[in-house]
Amino acid sequence: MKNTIKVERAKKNWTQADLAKNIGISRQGLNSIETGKFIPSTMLALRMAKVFETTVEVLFQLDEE
Amino acid sequence: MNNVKQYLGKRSTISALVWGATYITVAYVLKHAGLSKPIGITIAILPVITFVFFIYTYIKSISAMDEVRQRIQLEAAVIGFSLSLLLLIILFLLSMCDVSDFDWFGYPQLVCYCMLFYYIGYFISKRKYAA
Repeated sequence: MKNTIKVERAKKNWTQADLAKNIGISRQGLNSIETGKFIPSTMLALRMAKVFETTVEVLFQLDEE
Repeated sequence: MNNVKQYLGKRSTISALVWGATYITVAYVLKHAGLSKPIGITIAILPVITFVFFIYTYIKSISAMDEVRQRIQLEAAVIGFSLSLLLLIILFLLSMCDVSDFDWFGYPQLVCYCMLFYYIGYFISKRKYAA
């Protein structure tokens, strides 16, 4: 699973701490998601998409293989 | 929300300390006070009450954590439980062939090993998610 959280975050000029606060998780937790170590729940993915004003499909993509 | 998380986390830590203190005190009293059997049994139940309260606050605090931390706690509990079970299985099988060392693997030590196994699981899982 790939994600574009870092890119979307850069567009908004947000730090990990800013985004983590907005979606209600810890900064370390967000880092695990951003680096692909943890796959978030649908609820959290939707919350993330909402704060970025985009869709979940833009934020998360399945790997090609 | 953060205040609630902090409050539940603190409550869980305090209840763990209360349980630990109760357990150690009761163990000391039972060993040294020379109480009668009924009184001893009554006193031995005290840590059970504080332990149940600790587990209740621990579960409450987990439910207030974000999902990455919940996963870490879950994996820590699974690893800790599995290692504890494994140790009990090995000790039981060894006792069948009269290999038992109660100085190192008595009931008091087993409690410590179980807690150690939880922390090993916690460390492994925390490293895995780097959280």
